[in-house]
Amino acid sequence: MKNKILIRKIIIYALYIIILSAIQVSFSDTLILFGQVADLMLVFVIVCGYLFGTKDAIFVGLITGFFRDYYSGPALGGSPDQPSAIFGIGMLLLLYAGVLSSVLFKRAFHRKLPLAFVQVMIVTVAYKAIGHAIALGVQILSGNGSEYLSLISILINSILPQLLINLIAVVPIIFMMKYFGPYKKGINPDLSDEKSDSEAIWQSV
Amino acid sequence: MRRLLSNKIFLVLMLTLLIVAIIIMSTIPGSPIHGLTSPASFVIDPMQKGVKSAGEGFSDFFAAISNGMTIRKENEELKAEIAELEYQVAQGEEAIRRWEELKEAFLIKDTFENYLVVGASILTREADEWFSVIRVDLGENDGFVLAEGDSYAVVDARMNLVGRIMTTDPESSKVLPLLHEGFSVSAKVNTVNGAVVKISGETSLKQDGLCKVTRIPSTVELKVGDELVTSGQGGLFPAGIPIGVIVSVDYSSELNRTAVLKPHVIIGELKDIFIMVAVEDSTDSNENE
Repeated sequence: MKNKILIRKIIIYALYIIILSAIQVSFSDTLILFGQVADLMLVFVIVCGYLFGTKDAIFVGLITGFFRDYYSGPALGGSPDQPSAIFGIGMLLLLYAGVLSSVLFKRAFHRKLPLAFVQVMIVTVAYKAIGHAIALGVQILSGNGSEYLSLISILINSILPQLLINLIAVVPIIFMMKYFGPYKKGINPDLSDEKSDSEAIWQSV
Repeated sequence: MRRLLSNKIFLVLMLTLLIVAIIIMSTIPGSPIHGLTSPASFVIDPMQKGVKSAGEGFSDFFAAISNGMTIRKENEELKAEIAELEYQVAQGEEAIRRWEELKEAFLIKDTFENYLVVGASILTREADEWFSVIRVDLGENDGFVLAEGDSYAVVDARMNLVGRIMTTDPESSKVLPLLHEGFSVSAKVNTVNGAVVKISGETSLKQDGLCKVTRIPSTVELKVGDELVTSGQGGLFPAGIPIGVIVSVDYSSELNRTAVLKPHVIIGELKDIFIMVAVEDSTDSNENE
């Protein structure tokens, strides 16, 4: 019985990871709002972490991050004459996005579905802020000066549109995770075992 | 050990260390880490192609229904256009024949004669602001192998510069677009003895589809509207590939004269690209021997 649950979980997660990551990189010209692409991979990892706990978040974050690096890993390595793709940044970022969303406000939010929107907002802002900090760091380290986007520009052109498009993307993803997700009734039974306050009961709209 | 692995903090720490090691190793040129993606490309690329074609088929189906009437009308117009184009093709063929005769007579060399131009379709686009490398459906299995320290220029159908090939996998290759922060190319003003400058991608300009021009010699006054082409220095890109036009200049600092360039290519609208592969001139090598 346990094996059956595990196999179902792996197959469903694999399908979602393959399909969502392929949609994001294949139709990014359609899923765009004010220059920002809907980050289906990030939203998926956040929702999985928030609803199904840390173990699932680690697994989903790592694999989705691998796909992100494979498809469009940033070119930050090598020299100006011979730039090379860095592998692993996506894995690290999505691993932490998943883990963060699985532990952040766990007790305050009680994994309640509508509050997943708040979790997506928090993690998206953190992801964008860290991304800009890394981009600025790399720019300075590679000797290209410290002139960067202004804070207002980062907020208006990067963070706000990303928040908006991610909040739109989270609706179908939550729906799919709840009704066509890796667990029956959209509840991870392991979560109720590991907690004393039976958080699984809260996983209802 | 099993107890340790079930400890989430320990697990996350171990994974972090492992990934950081992978990141550091992947920055080293020729690192075996890049080989890790090769087996993955056998599985991921066909799946991605499947999802892409399913999505395109789905949208085409609905587009076909909603555009049925328009298509019928367009069909009539296109038939008339085909007749006109057929006439133009006939004229074009005649012009090509004349050009070949003249070329032979005057020993004219084509600018890109020594380059084989191979077409490829775009498989994946940017995932977000920073994960903005493009993947194309031409890989090692198509006989397209990228040697260490080598790269190829990528152009669009009008021969405008798109970027450069960064890595190849069995089923696909990664293209570094010219708007990316990691991209730089030596360029020159498209005039006789035009000044040589450097064009590179920059984070603050990328979102507006612009690039930065630096290393402008103090004796040169770039003007808005000047066209820049590849200079051919460095040997990676052949000289003369159009890049874009200057849209603004900043000479406020004499030591750091910069300009902003708008590339001819609109990367978001690209569907197909062309890779320029240098071919060894067998006649030249025979002559040398």
